[in-house]
Amino acid sequence: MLNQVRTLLGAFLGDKPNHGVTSPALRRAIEAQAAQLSRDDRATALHAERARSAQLRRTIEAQAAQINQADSPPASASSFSVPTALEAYIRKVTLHADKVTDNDIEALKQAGYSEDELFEITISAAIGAARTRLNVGLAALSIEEDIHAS
Amino acid sequence: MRLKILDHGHRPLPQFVFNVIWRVTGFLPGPLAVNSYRRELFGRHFSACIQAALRESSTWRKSELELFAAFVSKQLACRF
Repeated sequence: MLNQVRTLLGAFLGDKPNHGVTSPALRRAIEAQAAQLSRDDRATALHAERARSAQLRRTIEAQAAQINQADSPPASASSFSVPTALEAYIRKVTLHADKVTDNDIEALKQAGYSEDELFEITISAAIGAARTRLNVGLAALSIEEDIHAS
Repeated sequence: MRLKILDHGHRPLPQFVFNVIWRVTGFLPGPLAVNSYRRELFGRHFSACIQAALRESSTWRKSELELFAAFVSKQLACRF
Protein backbone atom coordinates (compact mmCIF):
# COMPACT_ATOMS: atom_id res chain seq x y z
CA MET A 1 0.00 0.00 0.00
CA LEU A 2 2.88 2.37 0.74
CA ASN A 3 3.92 2.23 -2.90
CA GLN A 4 0.45 3.33 -3.96
CA VAL A 5 0.59 6.18 -1.43
CA ARG A 6 3.94 7.30 -2.83
CA THR A 7 2.51 7.19 -6.34
CA LEU A 8 -0.42 9.32 -5.22
CA LEU A 9 1.88 11.86 -3.56
CA GLY A 10 4.15 11.99 -6.60
CA ALA A 11 1.26 12.40 -9.02
CA PHE A 12 -0.63 15.03 -7.04
CA LEU A 13 2.26 17.01 -5.58
CA GLY A 14 4.95 16.48 -8.20
CA ASP A 15 6.03 18.91 -10.89
CA LYS A 16 4.95 16.77 -13.83
CA PRO A 17 1.94 18.13 -15.73
CA ASN A 18 -1.09 16.61 -14.03
CA HIS A 19 -4.12 18.64 -15.10
CA GLY A 20 -4.16 20.68 -11.88
CA VAL A 21 -5.34 24.30 -11.93
CA THR A 22 -3.27 25.29 -8.89
CA SER A 23 0.53 25.27 -8.96
CA PRO A 24 2.37 22.19 -7.63
CA ALA A 25 4.27 24.53 -5.30
CA LEU A 26 1.04 25.74 -3.70
CA ARG A 27 -0.23 22.18 -3.32
CA ARG A 28 3.05 21.11 -1.71
CA ALA A 29 3.01 24.10 0.65
CA ILE A 30 -0.56 23.36 1.72
CA GLU A 31 0.21 19.67 2.15
CA ALA A 32 3.27 20.45 4.28
CA GLN A 33 1.34 22.92 6.43
CA ALA A 34 -1.47 20.44 7.00
CA ALA A 35 1.03 17.71 7.88
CA GLN A 36 2.71 20.02 10.39
CA LEU A 37 -0.64 21.05 11.92
CA SER A 38 -1.58 17.42 12.27
CA ARG A 39 1.77 16.61 13.88
CA ASP A 40 1.41 19.52 16.32
CA ASP A 41 -2.12 18.44 17.20
CA ARG A 42 -0.99 14.88 17.69
CA ALA A 43 1.95 15.96 19.84
CA THR A 44 -0.37 18.10 22.00
CA ALA A 45 -2.71 15.17 22.49
CA LEU A 46 0.19 12.96 23.40
CA HIS A 47 1.42 15.43 26.01
CA ALA A 48 -2.05 15.55 27.59
CA GLU A 49 -2.16 11.79 27.86
CA ARG A 50 1.32 11.75 29.29
CA ALA A 51 0.04 13.25 32.52
CA ARG A 52 -2.24 10.29 33.10
CA SER A 53 0.21 7.57 33.93
CA ALA A 54 3.91 7.10 34.37
CA GLN A 55 3.84 3.87 32.42
CA LEU A 56 2.06 5.51 29.52
CA ARG A 57 4.38 8.47 29.73
CA ARG A 58 7.45 6.55 28.63
CA THR A 59 5.68 5.10 25.61
CA ILE A 60 4.21 8.42 24.57
CA GLU A 61 7.46 10.30 24.93
CA ALA A 62 9.14 7.84 22.64
CA GLN A 63 6.33 8.21 20.16
CA ALA A 64 6.30 12.01 20.43
CA ALA A 65 10.02 12.05 19.80
CA GLN A 66 9.47 10.05 16.65
CA ILE A 67 6.76 12.45 15.55
CA ASN A 68 8.92 15.49 16.23
CA GLN A 69 11.79 14.11 14.25
CA ALA A 70 9.45 13.05 11.46
CA ASP A 71 9.98 14.49 8.05
CA SER A 72 10.41 18.22 7.87
CA PRO A 73 8.74 19.98 4.93
CA PRO A 74 10.76 19.64 1.75
CA ALA A 75 12.67 22.71 0.63
CA SER A 76 10.34 23.21 -2.29
CA ALA A 77 7.41 23.42 0.11
CA SER A 78 8.97 25.73 2.67
CA SER A 79 10.06 28.19 -0.01
CA PHE A 80 6.45 28.76 -1.00
CA SER A 81 4.17 30.28 1.60
CA VAL A 82 0.49 29.51 1.87
CA PRO A 83 -1.76 32.55 1.28
CA THR A 84 -3.13 33.91 4.53
CA ALA A 85 -6.69 33.63 3.25
CA LEU A 86 -6.31 29.85 3.15
CA GLU A 87 -4.73 29.25 6.55
CA ALA A 88 -7.92 28.99 8.61
CA TYR A 89 -9.51 26.71 6.01
CA ILE A 90 -6.46 24.44 5.91
CA ARG A 91 -6.46 24.22 9.69
CA LYS A 92 -10.13 23.29 9.68
CA VAL A 93 -9.77 20.63 6.99
CA THR A 94 -6.73 19.20 8.76
CA LEU A 95 -8.01 19.08 12.34
CA HIS A 96 -11.80 19.38 12.19
CA ALA A 97 -12.90 18.38 8.71
CA ASP A 98 -16.41 17.65 9.95
CA LYS A 99 -16.79 21.31 10.95
CA VAL A 100 -16.34 22.68 7.41
CA THR A 101 -19.47 24.54 6.34
CA ASP A 102 -20.89 26.14 3.22
CA ASN A 103 -19.87 29.50 4.71
CA ASP A 104 -16.18 28.48 4.63
CA ILE A 105 -16.43 27.64 0.95
CA GLU A 106 -18.42 30.76 0.17
CA ALA A 107 -15.87 32.97 1.93
CA LEU A 108 -13.03 31.51 -0.13
CA LYS A 109 -15.03 31.94 -3.33
CA GLN A 110 -15.56 35.58 -2.37
CA ALA A 111 -11.78 35.82 -1.94
CA GLY A 112 -11.41 34.79 -5.57
CA TYR A 113 -10.83 31.04 -5.45
CA SER A 114 -12.63 28.91 -8.03
CA GLU A 115 -14.29 25.59 -7.17
CA ASP A 116 -11.56 23.71 -9.03
CA GLU A 117 -8.90 25.48 -6.98
CA LEU A 118 -10.78 24.74 -3.76
CA PHE A 119 -11.05 21.08 -4.79
CA GLU A 120 -7.26 20.86 -5.11
CA ILE A 121 -6.59 22.94 -1.99
CA THR A 122 -8.86 20.70 0.06
CA ILE A 123 -7.24 17.54 -1.23
CA SER A 124 -3.77 18.96 -0.55
CA ALA A 125 -4.69 19.63 3.07
CA ALA A 126 -6.35 16.23 3.45
CA ILE A 127 -3.29 14.48 2.05
CA GLY A 128 -1.02 16.33 4.49
CA ALA A 129 -3.16 15.33 7.46
CA ALA A 130 -3.44 11.74 6.21
CA ARG A 131 0.30 11.46 5.64
CA THR A 132 1.03 12.44 9.24
CA ARG A 133 -1.51 9.94 10.55
CA LEU A 134 -0.05 7.24 8.34
CA ASN A 135 3.45 7.97 9.64
CA VAL A 136 2.21 7.91 13.24
CA GLY A 137 0.56 4.56 12.54
CA LEU A 138 3.72 3.16 10.97
CA ALA A 139 5.74 4.35 13.97
CA ALA A 140 3.27 2.72 16.38
CA LEU A 141 3.76 -0.55 14.51
CA SER A 142 7.53 -0.09 14.73
CA ILE A 143 7.74 0.04 10.96
CA GLU A 144 10.78 2.13 10.28
CA GLU A 145 9.53 3.79 7.17
CA ASP A 146 8.44 7.38 6.73
CA ILE A 147 6.28 8.63 3.92
CA HIS A 148 7.56 11.91 2.56
CA ALA A 149 5.70 14.35 0.39
CA SER A 150 8.28 14.22 -2.38
CA MET B 1 -22.13 18.68 -1.81
CA ARG B 2 -20.32 21.89 -0.86
CA LEU B 3 -18.61 22.15 -4.25
CA LYS B 4 -21.09 22.20 -7.11
CA ILE B 5 -18.52 20.76 -9.50
CA LEU B 6 -18.72 17.50 -7.55
CA ASP B 7 -22.44 17.30 -8.25
CA HIS B 8 -22.52 18.50 -11.83
CA GLY B 9 -18.97 18.75 -13.18
CA HIS B 10 -18.23 15.15 -14.17
CA ARG B 11 -17.63 13.78 -17.63
CA PRO B 12 -20.77 12.59 -19.47
CA LEU B 13 -20.69 8.89 -18.57
CA PRO B 14 -19.98 9.19 -14.83
CA GLN B 15 -22.35 12.16 -14.68
CA PHE B 16 -25.10 9.99 -16.15
CA VAL B 17 -24.40 7.24 -13.61
CA PHE B 18 -24.38 9.74 -10.76
CA ASN B 19 -27.65 11.25 -11.90
CA VAL B 20 -29.18 7.78 -11.75
CA ILE B 21 -27.73 7.20 -8.27
CA TRP B 22 -29.06 10.59 -7.24
CA ARG B 23 -32.55 9.76 -8.47
CA VAL B 24 -32.60 6.32 -6.85
CA THR B 25 -31.01 7.08 -3.48
CA GLY B 26 -31.62 10.81 -3.11
CA PHE B 27 -27.97 11.60 -2.57
CA LEU B 28 -24.53 11.12 -4.11
CA PRO B 29 -21.89 9.62 -1.80
CA GLY B 30 -19.10 12.17 -1.32
CA PRO B 31 -16.13 9.78 -1.73
CA LEU B 32 -17.56 8.54 -5.03
CA ALA B 33 -17.86 12.07 -6.37
CA VAL B 34 -14.40 13.12 -5.16
CA ASN B 35 -12.76 10.02 -6.62
CA SER B 36 -14.45 10.48 -9.97
CA TYR B 37 -14.00 14.21 -10.45
CA ARG B 38 -10.93 14.89 -12.65
CA ARG B 39 -9.95 11.33 -11.89
CA GLU B 40 -6.54 11.51 -13.56
CA LEU B 41 -5.42 14.14 -11.03
CA PHE B 42 -6.36 12.43 -7.78
CA GLY B 43 -9.07 9.77 -7.86
CA ARG B 44 -7.22 7.22 -9.96
CA HIS B 45 -4.23 7.20 -7.60
CA PHE B 46 -6.33 7.40 -4.45
CA SER B 47 -8.49 4.50 -5.60
CA ALA B 48 -5.31 2.42 -5.94
CA CYS B 49 -4.44 3.27 -2.33
CA ILE B 50 -7.91 2.27 -1.16
CA GLN B 51 -7.73 -0.95 -3.15
CA ALA B 52 -4.35 -1.82 -1.63
CA ALA B 53 -5.35 -0.88 1.90
CA LEU B 54 -8.76 -2.53 2.03
CA ARG B 55 -8.43 -5.45 -0.37
CA GLU B 56 -4.86 -6.63 -0.63
CA SER B 57 -3.82 -7.37 2.94
CA SER B 58 -2.37 -10.79 3.61
CA THR B 59 -2.82 -10.36 7.36
CA TRP B 60 -6.39 -9.15 7.80
CA ARG B 61 -9.70 -10.19 6.29
CA LYS B 62 -11.59 -7.72 4.13
CA SER B 63 -14.31 -7.53 6.77
CA GLU B 64 -11.75 -6.67 9.45
CA LEU B 65 -10.19 -3.98 7.26
CA GLU B 66 -13.63 -2.51 6.59
CA LEU B 67 -14.26 -2.48 10.33
CA PHE B 68 -10.98 -0.64 10.96
CA ALA B 69 -11.88 1.89 8.27
CA ALA B 70 -15.34 2.40 9.75
CA PHE B 71 -13.85 2.88 13.23
CA VAL B 72 -11.34 5.47 12.03
CA SER B 73 -14.07 7.28 10.09
CA LYS B 74 -16.17 7.36 13.23
CA GLN B 75 -13.26 8.79 15.22
CA LEU B 76 -12.88 11.53 12.61
CA ALA B 77 -16.63 12.21 12.59
CA CYS B 78 -16.88 11.17 8.94
CA ARG B 79 -19.58 8.95 7.49
CA PHE B 80 -18.18 5.66 6.17
